[in-house]
Amino acid sequence: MSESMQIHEEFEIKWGMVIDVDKCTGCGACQIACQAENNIPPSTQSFDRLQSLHWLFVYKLDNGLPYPDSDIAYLPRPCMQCGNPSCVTVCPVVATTKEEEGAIVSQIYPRCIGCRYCMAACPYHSRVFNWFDPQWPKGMEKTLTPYASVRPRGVVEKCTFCHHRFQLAKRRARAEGRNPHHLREGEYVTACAEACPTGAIVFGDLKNSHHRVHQLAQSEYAFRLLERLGTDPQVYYLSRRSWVRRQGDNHVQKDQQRGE
Amino acid sequence: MALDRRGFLKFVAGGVIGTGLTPLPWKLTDDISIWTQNWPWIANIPDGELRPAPSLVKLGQPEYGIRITTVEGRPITAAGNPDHPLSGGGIDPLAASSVQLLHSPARIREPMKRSDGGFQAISREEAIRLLTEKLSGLKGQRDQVACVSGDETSSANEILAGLLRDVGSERFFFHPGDTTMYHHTWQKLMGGRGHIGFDLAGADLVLSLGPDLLESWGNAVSHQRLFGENGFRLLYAGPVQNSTAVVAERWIPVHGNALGHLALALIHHVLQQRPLAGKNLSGVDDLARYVRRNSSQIQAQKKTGLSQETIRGLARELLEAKRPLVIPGSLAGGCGASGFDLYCGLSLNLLLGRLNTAGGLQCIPEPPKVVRGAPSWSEMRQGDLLSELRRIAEGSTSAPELMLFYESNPMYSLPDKELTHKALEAVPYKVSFSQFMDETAASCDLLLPHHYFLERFDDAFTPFSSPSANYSVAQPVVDPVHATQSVPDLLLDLYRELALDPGHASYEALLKEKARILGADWKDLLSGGMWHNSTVVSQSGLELWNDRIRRMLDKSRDGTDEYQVHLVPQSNRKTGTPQTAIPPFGLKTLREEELEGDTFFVRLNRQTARKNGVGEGSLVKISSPEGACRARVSLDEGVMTDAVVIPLGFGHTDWDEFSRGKGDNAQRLFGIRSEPGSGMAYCPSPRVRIDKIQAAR
Repeated sequence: MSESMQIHEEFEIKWGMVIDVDKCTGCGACQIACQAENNIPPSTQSFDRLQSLHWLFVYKLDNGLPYPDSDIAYLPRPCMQCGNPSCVTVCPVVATTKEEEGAIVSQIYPRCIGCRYCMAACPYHSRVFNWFDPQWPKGMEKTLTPYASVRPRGVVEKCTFCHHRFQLAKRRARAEGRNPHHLREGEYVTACAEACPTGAIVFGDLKNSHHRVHQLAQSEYAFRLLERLGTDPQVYYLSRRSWVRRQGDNHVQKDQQRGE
Repeated sequence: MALDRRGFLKFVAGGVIGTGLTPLPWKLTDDISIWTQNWPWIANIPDGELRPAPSLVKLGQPEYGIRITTVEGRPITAAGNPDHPLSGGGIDPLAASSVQLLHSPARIREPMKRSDGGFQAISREEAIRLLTEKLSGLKGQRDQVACVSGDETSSANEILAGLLRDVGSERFFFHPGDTTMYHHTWQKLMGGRGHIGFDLAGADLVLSLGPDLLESWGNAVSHQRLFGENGFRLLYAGPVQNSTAVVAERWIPVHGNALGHLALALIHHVLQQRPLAGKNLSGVDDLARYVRRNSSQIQAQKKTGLSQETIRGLARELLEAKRPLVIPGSLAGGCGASGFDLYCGLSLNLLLGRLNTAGGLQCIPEPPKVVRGAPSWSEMRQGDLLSELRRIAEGSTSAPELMLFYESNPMYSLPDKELTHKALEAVPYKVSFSQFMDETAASCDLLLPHHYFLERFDDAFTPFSSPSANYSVAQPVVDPVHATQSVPDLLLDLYRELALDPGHASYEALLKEKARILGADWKDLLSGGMWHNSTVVSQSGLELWNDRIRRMLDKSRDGTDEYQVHLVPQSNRKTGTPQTAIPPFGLKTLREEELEGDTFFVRLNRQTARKNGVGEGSLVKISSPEGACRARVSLDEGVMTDAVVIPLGFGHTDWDEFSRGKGDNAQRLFGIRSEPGSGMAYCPSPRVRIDKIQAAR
């Protein structure tokens, strides 16, 4: 990304995620917890780019080698909450911003005009567009949560790191007379991190040395997706398998730059 | 005054300017934008106070504590319960979507009876009257009432089995699976006492011989948490790189029908290295003689396809580990494991000295019995449903006059569709207590829908694979959404209608009594806690060798089937359990290589694809001697050569639009086989044939 396109701004708190790919069994509990928490409607179709929306999707990776040398890994992909978000710079109506506390890329649905420039700009395919109105089977609308508004057709949506949980955690801290900007580890975690049965998803403040993510992100096995684009993602992945780390970026074949 | 042209233009211009200066156009534009976007079909979200409510997930295995968040009494989300040891805060995808299933379109909303080929809604009173009449008419007639239960841990089983015994029937069956197969192997075949649990938390090396420990086998959520805490090294032996193999330290590719032979080969090595291993166990010398004769290094290499070095290395790792644990079982959590597979795996543990010790096999006591006149839990597990259905279908035993189905859907989830349907259709009157319109409910004569687990009291005593005896309770989180009933309470009423005494006024009182007998704190259970006790059952009559074992080993399957490709079933909680179908939120998590439209995918590697003339995306017919399925091919190098992986959970014919007609039911490819020696019926993975219907895209 050229310097003129960068909007990088440092925040006091930088919420981030470290996902241990070597612990992910691909069970999908994170995906379903995300859908339930954020009022993402069910679909009568399986994976379908038009009809089924996902804020978090679990991809299956393989090392490309034939049996018996093959290896498989699962990679959950939420919004990367980039430090230099490509989506923010292209939004003509400022419906998505990087000015929230905690360095979370927001998405303001009433402002969104559905131009989908942000979708084109996002290199991670983290954003989805409501081509249709959301529908729940009769009665199931009673399970809608008060955490996220229901998005109508014509609006782009994406993972918000369960921002409402951040608000709740801050409110709780204020009520207890604590500084809401210094939340303890575990006071604010996303629905996917909470659901993960193997603890593969760890969430916290990347800048807070008391949070596990701070150390994990500095591991020699840590990597970020498409790091060379300069988007500065706040989601890190861990894997001891070099082929997984190599697939984190679009390296050309035989490129020895990373992961070896 | 005449209006000339100039005057008209002045008037129009003045009007436009004047109107433009008023708020009217802006207000109208604003209103138009609001009212054209304020569609009535966009759901409104009522706000309110958020409250957590503890519960216990009861949707088949695994069962563990969860926390439901409610808004003004309305359940909205489910999360794991960090205070419940079997959850530790983790949750599986099915339980994560359990709140939405409360409002599933497949819920049966009221009691119904069959009428003119369909169902007619009836009152609760009429439904109870119909069932009471049936039971009264059959009371005293031997074995004319049968019951199939798919819930292995609930005290409701005591009520059901007790009611059957009181009306003169012993035909109570659990839905077949690893729990019953372990029970038969451990108690009937090997003379053990108690039932087997696995202390993964205490083990330093876990070798899974087949079971997908981290996805679909036993307390998978608990296993996942323990694995995530880096508690043990994990090795997986099986035909596919499944959820367990993906994160295991090593995947050891072995076909499903060779896993027992691998265990025998490991026994051979263990006995070679430690000649005194298991010397205190009855029959160890006979077993040693058998493995010397039948599991030599060359024979083991031939049977398992593994090199001698690999087997030797694996045996060395087990011997060098301080607390190794070997877990045999079915590949997909169903009835695929034979007595042979389980016996070999259990014997290996015994020879490694891993019984009733930290990180080993645990012999857990049976649950206490609280219903007067009910059989013991051990007696309840004696029934062999698959053998019974075969006998009914073949006419060697008469079908019962009345059959009850509790949390069980055998029409869908049992193999050999022809035989199962024939046997069940021979039953004149069938009653389903299912909460959902499943395939079995759709074939019944009377439907008395149970409350959903969030609407009722229920319990779970030591879910399968638990390391020690434990007890958890579910309580109502929400008022019943539909005109359903608590079936255990209804059955207690039936006892009284039939002039019988169950000894308890209500199901809640019964559960309280069970908690009291166990010494559990009822209030703690209601607040999401779990009672547990690490007492183990000592063994006195355990045998590694007897005549039954000898006959079983002599006849162990050796793969002489008609076709060449091994079928490998794979189960995933995203696509439900034997008791449930694909949940609404589960369907959309399926990737492009799992389901496309209404066609599901089987997985095989390139070499197998080449051998069978198919490629990525080919539409194929998978045939076994029992039946056929239609699927597309997804190439996956994480599958052994000459194996094809078929997912379970697809091909429902009832339920709702989220599962009906999606893919084919893989169970139709499986047959039922009786095992010599053990006398147990099980469903081995068959060899299949792959025929191309349509070329690769």
